[in-house]
Amino acid sequence: MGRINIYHLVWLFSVLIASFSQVLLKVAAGKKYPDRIREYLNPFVITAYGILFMSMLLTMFALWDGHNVNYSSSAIIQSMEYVFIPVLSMLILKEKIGMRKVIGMLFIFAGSLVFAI
Amino acid sequence: MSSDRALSGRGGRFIREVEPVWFLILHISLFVYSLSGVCAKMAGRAGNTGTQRILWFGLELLIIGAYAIVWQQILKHMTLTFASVNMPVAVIYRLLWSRLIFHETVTPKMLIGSIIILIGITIGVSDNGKN
Repeated sequence: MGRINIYHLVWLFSVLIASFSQVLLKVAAGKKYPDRIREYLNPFVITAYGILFMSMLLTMFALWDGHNVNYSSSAIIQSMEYVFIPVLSMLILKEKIGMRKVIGMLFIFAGSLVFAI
Repeated sequence: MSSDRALSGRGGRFIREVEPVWFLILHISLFVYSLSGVCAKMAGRAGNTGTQRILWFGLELLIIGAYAIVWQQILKHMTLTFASVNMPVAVIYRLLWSRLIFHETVTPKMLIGSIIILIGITIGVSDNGKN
C-alpha cells in the first residue's frame, strides 16, 4: 500500500460519502409519494445521486497520476464501504444489526482483503 | 419450485428478514449491475471505432439507470444493512466476467477471497433482523 498520504484520505472520504448517499436513498424509499415520478425525482434521491457523482470524481482525483495512490490500496479503502453502510444505517436509520450480520460483514471484509492484496 | 420454497429449509425460511421474491430481485439486479463493468471495459477496448464505443457506453448507462430505478424499489422492501450485506456478491460476478469474457487470470487468492466473501454473505443474510 505504501505510505498513506492525503489522497488516500480523499479516497476514503469518497467511500464515506458514497455510503451516506445510500442512507439518503433508503430514507427516500421509506417515504410515501403521490406518484411514481416524485418517488425518483425528490430532494433525497437527487442529492444522493449528486453525492455519488461527487464521490466518483473524488475517487478519480485521488487516483490521479502523481498522487502516489496505488490501486492495490483499493482492497482496504473500497472495503470500508461494508463497514460504513452498516454503521451509518445503525446511527442514522436506527437499523438493528444482529450478531450474524456483524460476523458476515467481518468475513466479507476479510474476503475482500484476501481477494485483492 | 416457488422462490419461497427454494429459500426455505425444514426449520423455516433461511432468509427471514426479507421476502424471497425481493431477495431474488436484489440478486438479479446485482447480477445485471455487474455487467455495467463489462460494458465499461468493452467501451475502453473499442479503440478508435467511435460507434462501438458509444454503443457500449450507452449500454453501460442504460444498465446503471435501470439498476438505480430497481434499487429504489428494493430498498422499500429491506433494510439498508441487509442490502449492503449482499452487495459484495458483485466482486464474485466481476471475477466471473473477467475469466469468461476477458480471459484474465484468476489467482488462488482471488478464489479464496471470493469463497470467504460468499460465506460472509450467507452468514449475514441468515440474520433474522433482530438483535
